[in-house]
Amino acid sequence: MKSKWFVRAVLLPAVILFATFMVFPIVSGLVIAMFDYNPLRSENSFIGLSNFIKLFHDATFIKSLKNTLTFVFVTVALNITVCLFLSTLISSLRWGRLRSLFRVLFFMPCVAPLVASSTVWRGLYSPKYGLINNFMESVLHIPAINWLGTPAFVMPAIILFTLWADMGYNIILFSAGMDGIPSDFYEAAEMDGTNAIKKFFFITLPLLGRTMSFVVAMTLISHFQMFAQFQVLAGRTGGPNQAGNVLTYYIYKTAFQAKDMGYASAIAIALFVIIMIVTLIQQRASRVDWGY
Amino acid sequence: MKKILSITLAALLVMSLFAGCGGSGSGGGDTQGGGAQGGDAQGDITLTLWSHIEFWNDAQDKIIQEFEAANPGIKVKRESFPYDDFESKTQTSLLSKSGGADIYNLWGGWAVDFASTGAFSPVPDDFVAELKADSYEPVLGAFEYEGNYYGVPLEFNIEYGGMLVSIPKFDELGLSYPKTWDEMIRIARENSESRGVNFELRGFDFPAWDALTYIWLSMILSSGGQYMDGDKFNFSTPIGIETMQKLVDYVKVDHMTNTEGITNAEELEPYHKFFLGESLMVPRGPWVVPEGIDDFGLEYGVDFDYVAMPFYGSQKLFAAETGWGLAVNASSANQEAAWKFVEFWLEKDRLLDYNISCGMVPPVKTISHDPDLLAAMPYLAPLVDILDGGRFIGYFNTDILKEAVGDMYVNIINSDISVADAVKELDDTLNEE
Repeated sequence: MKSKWFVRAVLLPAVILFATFMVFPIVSGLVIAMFDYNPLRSENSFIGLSNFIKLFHDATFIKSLKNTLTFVFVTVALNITVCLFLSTLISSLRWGRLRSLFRVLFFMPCVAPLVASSTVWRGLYSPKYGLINNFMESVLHIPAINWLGTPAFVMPAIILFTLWADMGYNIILFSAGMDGIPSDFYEAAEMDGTNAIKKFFFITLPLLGRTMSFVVAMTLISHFQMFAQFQVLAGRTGGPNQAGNVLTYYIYKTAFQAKDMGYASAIAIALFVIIMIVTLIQQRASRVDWGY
Repeated sequence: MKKILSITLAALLVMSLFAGCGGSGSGGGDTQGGGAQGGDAQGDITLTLWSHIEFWNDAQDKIIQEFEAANPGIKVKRESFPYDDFESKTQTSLLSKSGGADIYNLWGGWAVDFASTGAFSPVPDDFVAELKADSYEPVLGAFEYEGNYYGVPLEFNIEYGGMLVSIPKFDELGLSYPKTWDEMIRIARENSESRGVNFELRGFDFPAWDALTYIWLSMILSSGGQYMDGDKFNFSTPIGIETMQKLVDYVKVDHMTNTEGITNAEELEPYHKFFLGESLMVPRGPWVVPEGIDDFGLEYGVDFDYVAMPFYGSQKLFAAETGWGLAVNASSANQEAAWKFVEFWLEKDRLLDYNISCGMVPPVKTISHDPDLLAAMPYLAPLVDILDGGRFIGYFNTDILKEAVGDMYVNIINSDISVADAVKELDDTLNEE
């Protein structure tokens, strides 16, 4: 009985923190979404579900939703594929220090604040003075591209930057997962004359299931929430023809520029629901019932 | 014993949590003066002035020193913050209607959001009469709400009427500065050069956050048109569509420049690129001239000039928004002293001195043609003659208009949508908001 009191007392601060900073904002957001809420007004009227109904007719919301889904699914797919490939290469290195060196190199962009690295990349994408176009023109003899000024190139440019900035975490996680696979499986496969590609698809990939499930879930959630690179690279208009406008940025603009907090809360709740649905589907699809 | 220990431990944890959330202070700012807000031990009044960190802080300190010397019982403490912090701190303090500053050196457009909330102290009646008699129309527009005024202007924010021209390039081409709109367009069209997506020379680099909207509005007004119908936007008029079509053609057909200035494709603004030698003519407010001299090491009158920009139509009319000004916090305990300080600041000679120090166009007629002003800033000469043609842009959030116009423009350039349809959509979007 006494120990229960102690446990309750020790947990109390955590519960207060959780309630204050997690539960209360979510509930507040839901309530605010039902008001025509502008903090600059003295009176804000209750409008029920009008903000949620408005979402279905708002062309900018629909465009932002499409952009968000495109960004998330393309970036996550590329991220997982490239990270798996690089992790396999790194894990195949025999010298431990060299493996560590590559992991550190790939992890370095993750250490830099996203706003700072986005700003540097904005300079790299500059049509006339940017390193990328200068390299393309002078070395590859390819005409320069107006990366952030052409609707078709804005999202690919942001995806490329995000891949560079965010690969490090997953390379570390996949590498750790690969290091945890018992070597017996590979030795047995080698005795059977299995080549590297088959080993990857029939041993590494299946046995990385738990790591893969975790990595995909976390990467999906974090990519849905990404904001900094859109603000820096797409700019305050969301890029030409809003080609770089995503839900997080639209929430920010609606809340803090248009000061329409009610509608911004409705968009935020829509994003919350989308993330929840996608995560549930992903978790169900990648359920793993075994261990080694 | 264990129970007491566990409760004490939990209480300490909770207290540490709240202690972390508490505390006060205004770190991160640039502060001049001292004393607590409201008064000090001797019973003197201490006013707080909030502004953002800018080169004009020195000029503000000079005024504060003069005011304190003339009013021994009143001290003024200036607190300046980085621009983004300043904007959010100002908004938060005005919304909460407690704390904050006694006086705000704020952007006039912000008053549109706050005047209706009762956050500002109304300008005293005798001061209003004096201001209305001498001020240009746009400089008071955003400060007026339901017949009362809630702030006073420190400048005439002008984004139309002048443009940067490259002296070496005009000399090289053997051209003189254009006197008419058609001449300006012809020169730009004939001398623009591009290589793929990059330009060797931009003839007339106008697509930018401010410039695009102000040029369009002036084209409409100078042609005798209107873009407002009561409190609703109405760009879908023959003149609204015709003028936007011209602006689109300058980029899409004539290739005078591209839309980099709006799309965030390039870190540099059009006037930056002008100072780097990429452009022949760039429309912009006169405040960019000191930047060309100080930051780019160029010589005014040798490397570049600032000249009158021709009007599209026959009338010399343009739209302007209310620029930087002063407002007094309605929750201030010292509103009378605060207004005394504001009136002191706006005395003619002092305002002229401040405008010269800050490179601002004066908001009042009596000093806008002062020889000292033009001697200190000769590049204002093309502008002071057209100030009477300035019309208040309208009582709305101008950022929303500029963003919507920029979006529409880029959309027309990059798609097959007709100008008429795009302008109709613009009206619908703006009027819905």
